[in-house]
Amino acid sequence: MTNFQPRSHSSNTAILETKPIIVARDVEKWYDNGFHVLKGVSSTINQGEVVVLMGPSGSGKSTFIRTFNGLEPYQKGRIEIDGTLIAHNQKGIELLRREVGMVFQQFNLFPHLTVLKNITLGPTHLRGLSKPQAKANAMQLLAKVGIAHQANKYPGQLSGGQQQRVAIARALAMQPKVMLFDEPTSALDPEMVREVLDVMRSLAESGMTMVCVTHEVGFAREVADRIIFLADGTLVADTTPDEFFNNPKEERLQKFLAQILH
Amino acid sequence: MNYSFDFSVVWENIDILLAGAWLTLKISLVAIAFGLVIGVIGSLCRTSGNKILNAITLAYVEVIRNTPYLIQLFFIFFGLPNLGIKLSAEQAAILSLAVNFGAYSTEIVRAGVESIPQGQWEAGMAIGFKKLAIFRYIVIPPALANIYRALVGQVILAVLFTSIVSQIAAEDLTYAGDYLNSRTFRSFEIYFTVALLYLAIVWLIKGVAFLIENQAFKFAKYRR
Repeated sequence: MTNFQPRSHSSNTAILETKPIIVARDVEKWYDNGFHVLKGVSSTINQGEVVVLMGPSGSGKSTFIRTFNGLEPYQKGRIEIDGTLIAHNQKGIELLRREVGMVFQQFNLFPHLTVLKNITLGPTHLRGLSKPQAKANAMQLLAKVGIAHQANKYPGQLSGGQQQRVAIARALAMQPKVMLFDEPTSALDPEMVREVLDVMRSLAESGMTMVCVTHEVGFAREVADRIIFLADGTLVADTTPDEFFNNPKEERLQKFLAQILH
Repeated sequence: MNYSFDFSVVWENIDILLAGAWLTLKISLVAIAFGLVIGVIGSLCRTSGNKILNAITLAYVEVIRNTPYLIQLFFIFFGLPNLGIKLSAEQAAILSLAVNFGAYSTEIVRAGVESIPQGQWEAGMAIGFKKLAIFRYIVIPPALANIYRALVGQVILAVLFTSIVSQIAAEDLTYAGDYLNSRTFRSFEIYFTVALLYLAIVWLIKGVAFLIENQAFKFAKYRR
């Protein structure tokens, strides 16, 4: 169903993959009510990496990922996207956001626009593409996520899984440097989870840099290069899927895994 | 009851009544168009988070919604000339109606804007749109769909409000009726016809509103 361009396995892949795309340093955030949600979280995400963020609810993982495109303000620390500081309400933040695609739990498609126009809205207004160009690109992306035949429908006419795949195509249409997924399958009926994960898997194989907040253990195990574990606003572990699931060292992580793996 | 109806006075002067109806329709449509623009801009100011813009807009809404329209009309037509701003009766009618409808539509459209989930704003931001572009391309269309019926109701009230502009001798439908009545004293026949003409105008506008709804808000049928 999905076929993004395959990840290149040329000899310089190793060099490419050490280029940092997201650098977060000692990020601290308090909610308006005083709750200390991020307590100095640091992490670096390199080009081409697929990083999964896991953690119990309230651990700050969604908040953390939302600081990467300035949707969530933070009070201390520093986040850089491809070498440029990113912060909420910063001047010119719109330009940076174009480089960071985001997929939301609730899809957030625009209900008044057809699937096609949901995808072309950004490229035509922000990337200077002509309508035919943007449409051609959108149709290619829709073919890749397997819903080209629904291009002229409204989001309300699609299933949740289809809507989320459109949302992925919409984010990709801006040709971002990195894709953020904030619990992309949590609002889906169980039988629709797979079609979305398949698209994400295929996207990962194409070499896209991805940061995913998800509870999908299978996806994390098979697709992630690294898994970051957050608990109570602190980064507890940052390790390979193998170490994460098979040899967890931290007590907090062991407790979490005992809960989710039954 | 020994009143004998005589509608010949209506037929003989139908051109006067139709000319009045035409002016009523014209004043209504122009004022509603301007008022709607005011309403959209006003709702933007009310929801922008900018305290000064919000306070100014709120003051405007409060003043207009809590004072009689007739006084607003008199203020514009008789009061403004003292400041050197002289308007024709027709201009004063359109301006006062637009300002009046603008205040009501500001609050109606604001309710629509506030009905749009935060996720829509976030999706627009994540793509890289600025706030104003999100408002225009992403928020306003479904916001208008959400409050469309309420807005049409206010539009109809605005049309009915136009009868008051006869008080400054704008030659609308009510003025035409008054004029004929004062010359023929066929009050029943004349005001009956005037009422029918108002009904026709409102139905016309309702019909157009219905067509617009079917065309512009097709997507609303599929919304959950």
